Amino acid sequence: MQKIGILAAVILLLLFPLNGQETFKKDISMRLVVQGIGIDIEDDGSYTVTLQAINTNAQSVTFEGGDQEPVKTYNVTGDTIYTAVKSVTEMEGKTPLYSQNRVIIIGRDIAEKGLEGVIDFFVRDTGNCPSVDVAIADGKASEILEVKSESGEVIARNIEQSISSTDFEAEISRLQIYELVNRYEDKLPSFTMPILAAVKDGDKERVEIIETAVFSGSKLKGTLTKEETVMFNFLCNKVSSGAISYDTDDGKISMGVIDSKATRRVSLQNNTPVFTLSVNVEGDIAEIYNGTAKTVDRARLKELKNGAEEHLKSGMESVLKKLYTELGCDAPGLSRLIYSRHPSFFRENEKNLSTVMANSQYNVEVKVTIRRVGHELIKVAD
Amino acid sequence: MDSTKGKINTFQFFSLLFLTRLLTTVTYIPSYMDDVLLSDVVIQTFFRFAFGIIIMIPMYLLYRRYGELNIIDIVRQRSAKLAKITALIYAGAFFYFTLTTVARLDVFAGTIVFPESDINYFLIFVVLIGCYGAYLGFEALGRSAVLSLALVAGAMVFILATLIKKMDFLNFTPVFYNGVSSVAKISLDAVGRTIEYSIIAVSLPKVTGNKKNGFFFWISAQTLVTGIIFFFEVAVMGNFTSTQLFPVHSLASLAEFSMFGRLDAIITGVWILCAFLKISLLIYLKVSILKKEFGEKKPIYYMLPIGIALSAINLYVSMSVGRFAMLDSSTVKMSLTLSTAFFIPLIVLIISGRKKEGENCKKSVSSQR
Amino acid sequence: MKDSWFNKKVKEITVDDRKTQPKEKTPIDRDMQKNVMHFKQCLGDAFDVKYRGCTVSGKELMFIMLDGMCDNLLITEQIMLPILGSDLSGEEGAKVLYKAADEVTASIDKAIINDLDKAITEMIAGNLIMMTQESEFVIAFGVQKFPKRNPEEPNTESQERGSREGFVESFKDNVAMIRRRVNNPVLKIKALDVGTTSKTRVCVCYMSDRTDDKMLADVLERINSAELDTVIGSGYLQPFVDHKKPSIFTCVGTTERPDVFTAKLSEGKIGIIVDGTPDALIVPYLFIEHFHSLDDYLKRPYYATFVRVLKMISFMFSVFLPGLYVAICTFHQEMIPETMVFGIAGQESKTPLPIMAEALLIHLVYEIVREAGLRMPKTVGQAVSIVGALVIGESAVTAGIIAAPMLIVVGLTAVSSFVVPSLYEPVAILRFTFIIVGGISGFYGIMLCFAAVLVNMTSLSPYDVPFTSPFSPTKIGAWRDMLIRSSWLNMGKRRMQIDKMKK
Repeated sequence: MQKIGILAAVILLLLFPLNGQETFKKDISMRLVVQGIGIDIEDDGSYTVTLQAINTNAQSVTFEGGDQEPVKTYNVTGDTIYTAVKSVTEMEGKTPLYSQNRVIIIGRDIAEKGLEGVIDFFVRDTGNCPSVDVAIADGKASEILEVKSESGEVIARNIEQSISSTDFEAEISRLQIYELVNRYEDKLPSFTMPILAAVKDGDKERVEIIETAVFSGSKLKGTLTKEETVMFNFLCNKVSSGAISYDTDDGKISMGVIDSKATRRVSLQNNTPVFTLSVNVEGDIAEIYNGTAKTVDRARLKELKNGAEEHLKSGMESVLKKLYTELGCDAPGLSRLIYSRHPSFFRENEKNLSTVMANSQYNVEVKVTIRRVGHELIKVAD
Repeated sequence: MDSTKGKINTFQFFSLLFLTRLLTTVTYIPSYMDDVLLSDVVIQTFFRFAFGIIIMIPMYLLYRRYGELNIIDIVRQRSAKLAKITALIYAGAFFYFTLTTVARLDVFAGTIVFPESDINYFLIFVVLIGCYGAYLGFEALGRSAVLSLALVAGAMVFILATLIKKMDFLNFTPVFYNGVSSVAKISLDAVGRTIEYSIIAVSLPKVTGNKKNGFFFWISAQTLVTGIIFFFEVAVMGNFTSTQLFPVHSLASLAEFSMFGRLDAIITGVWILCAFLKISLLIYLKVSILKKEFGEKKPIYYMLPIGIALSAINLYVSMSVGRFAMLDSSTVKMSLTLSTAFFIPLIVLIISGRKKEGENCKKSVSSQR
Repeated sequence: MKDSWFNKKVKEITVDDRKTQPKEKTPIDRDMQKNVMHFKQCLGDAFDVKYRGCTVSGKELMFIMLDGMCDNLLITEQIMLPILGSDLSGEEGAKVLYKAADEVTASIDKAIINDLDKAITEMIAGNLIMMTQESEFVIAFGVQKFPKRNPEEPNTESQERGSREGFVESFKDNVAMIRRRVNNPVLKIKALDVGTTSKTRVCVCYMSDRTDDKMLADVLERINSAELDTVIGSGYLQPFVDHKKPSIFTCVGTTERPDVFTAKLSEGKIGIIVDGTPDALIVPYLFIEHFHSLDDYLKRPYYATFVRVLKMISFMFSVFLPGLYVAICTFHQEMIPETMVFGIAGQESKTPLPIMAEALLIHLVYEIVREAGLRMPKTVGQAVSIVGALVIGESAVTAGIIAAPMLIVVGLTAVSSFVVPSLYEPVAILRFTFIIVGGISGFYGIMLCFAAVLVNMTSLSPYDVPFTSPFSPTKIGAWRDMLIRSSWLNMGKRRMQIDKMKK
């Protein structure tokens, strides 16, 4: 009995290498390691997918000696995204590996028509990582991925690093696939993502994040400038570091933001939501441009603080007005606040939420704490 | 099978049950929670706590009355034939849950781990190793559970800790927004997936120590852990949860630490370890129940047909989502669990209570004479 | 001796004859000649067996010894000279032997033997046999002196602190080293003869105040019932005292250090010393003990704890790292950090073999180099390491046969496996297993395999002590000397006892 058991085990073990499964074809060396995916839509409704994959024949990840680019770009077309990317296997003889994908870039055309057709592939395919960054191209996505970096770096990786620098730079509003789906499935779907553009600088070309796209539902509704994006990030409690500049009587002031915390409350007054957004900002005065050197005394410090508060308050209020009144987008997700705090009100007004949000009152309270002013000391007297 | 039939202590036993229940949490598919909003998914775990306590009341009362006998032993006192039927019911329930565990593991492997491959024969391997674990005995499984608990706890804490910064509390929906009944329903459904209650019913004689405290600790721990996992799921993923086949796996793929951008392989490891323990435990229990009722033969005589049946059915179900959905029926699971964990002990309790009353009555009549 | 009876040709008892001979005792004949003839029959024409007959005070005495195993000077000075110069008249038969042994000779080590075959065995073991007429027993004098090694530090168990002594081949010297460390009569040593042909002396050592009697009886019974013809090393006995379940792990520890041996005895374990080999056996040996060393107990607790944790991590690396690398590169590419994916993908794409085959090949080559290094003469051993490192490693990468990341993995694995040398055997097998399983089924298969190994380990309970104690079953009290090592201020209050870990 024991011998039969051992024989059966050996036969089973042999099943694995002998079953024609070709496990060896799954080696990373046999896969097309995709670093970036760009999707555009043609006039006939077919999709053009641009895949940026690692060129394993290149010497290194950066251009050092040799004449090979670190990445290869493939443009494929298909009725759906899946059929399009599958056809790259015929070109290269390797199946694509999406799990190392850094960024998904969607063409502006698709953004304006609606993202429904695009999202499903990235959610359904189990190889895709749900924490991939998503961005919009200012034009065609293929233009972005075909940019050749002078230093031979992988553009998709650069883009991802730029987007992820939202931790240090408040001018970027980052969105990952899972966040996109989460917001898309909301009662009042709306989200933001960065807009990329291929910028020519003489002979060189580079990819820059120029604006932030604002979506309502799945369609692109409008954009936010970089300054507006900073204010938007403050409102959404997404700023952990950054810089703001504002004017005072003595000229421009630059403040480095060390930390920011935003709290959001909602109350109902006369059946109208009143949102109170309190933002506490801590920062250091980085630069005072006033032509004459002046010591920062207590009065001056208060001036600087008030200036920052006013600047931030007005900026945030204008962004809120633009989002809710002009664009009709609940990008900060404040309708979710009503949903969780006042569910009965929400249930009554579920069908006309956009109107409710447009008519709501938004009170912004900003408190700025200046921690340091650099090498200057504050005078205690006068 | 371990011929010495060793006992394990309470900590080992409930560690084993904790891990087998954790498997159900980690591998849950949200399709049966469609009616329920996100916050209620978290709340229902606490309903489950209450339902769990209620379900175990008949078994607890039987334990107090009969001490170290399991449900089948108690039935055997009444009738050997009934004991055989009871044994078959329990063995059948355990067989069904083993089937669904292996099938779910197969769906996971086929969808997530090996999406482009035809690996359905791999489940034969899983069944083989499960049989091996069962063969090594209850003691070995109990001890493995303690070691596995340390690994699993460390892994889960690590994954959840890396997700703290991704939490967004606005993902939570109002509690009971769609009413309480739907929450109670899915909570009961979740109880129906907890075959561990039935395992307790048949395993009591093999466990030493304070079982009551152990049970309360176990049910509290698994409620708490399940609640925490669902809490993180909702807080991090929000509506994205319902788009995923295995949301906990997707949650782990969002976890990042240092240069590792995804930690879902850790969940895969947790899953497989817990699945192995569950499959082995259920096979062991089936074999020990059948051995006791149908003759003390060599374990291989029971294990072989069980293993072949498991493999054959799962091979048939494998790689077909439709067949899997038919097999993995909430109704069947709930019926089996409630029958084996609640109704059978309740009936036995009532019958044994009447028998005792009858005996007391006879005693009092004879004493009066 | 020129007597005709001594020079008579005798038919030698062959191996086949011995097998058919009954195993009862062969009593000493009152006729000395017959006894001598029996010796000659058993030993044949062995050139090193010396027979010395003499007549003292009219009494015939015969001395038999094995040249090369006895101290001739000792025999001459302490035994022969005194006897030859003594007056044995007035005594008859056995009393002649008594007087000679007790009143004439200066030897302390002597024994009375009444079994002829045992007398032959004792003679072969280096004792001098003295017999006379009309006596039903003979006297064996302990006069052994055979070539042996001085105690020196064992190569396989180097310690930074602690003694530099190691066991040697002579069991008497080994026992003496243990006795020196335990000046207490609780240390008991039982001597057994194992091996039907070799009759190797095996000493079972234990401390009577802490060793479980049942465990001791079990060990003795297993050793006594061991069906062995010759016992050349302790490894011959190991399977008999080990657990009976099929497992890659053994529950028998080995050591060449008397201090370690003594420490294990003080925990209630049983030690087995086999004559002719410096490796002593310790039963039962728990899994966690592979990560303990004597240095842990001689250094500060915080450092000892750090080293133990390091050993555990090294063990994990040595077992899992190659398999995980293969699994990640084949099935779980998403786990590769983005900074490394280009390098790994680029380099692996240039090699001709798939990753699993590459891993198997390079590990096989490593094992070949390691085995060659072990067997080669020391003078040539260095060349092997140079060949291994430079030629095979460096050149293979340059030639594109294997990728550099794979070489790093192999190097780290190899170094890690030397941190816990006692586990090298299971580690080597498990490593290959995990490579194959990882290459075929990724992390999924590795975890399944790990689960099977784990449950196999936990099923082992040698002498009713679970192999994975005190992790599982959990014995919190024993955790003070598990992965962490408490200070002796704490550990000294309550000694560790193996029978407290019984299930």
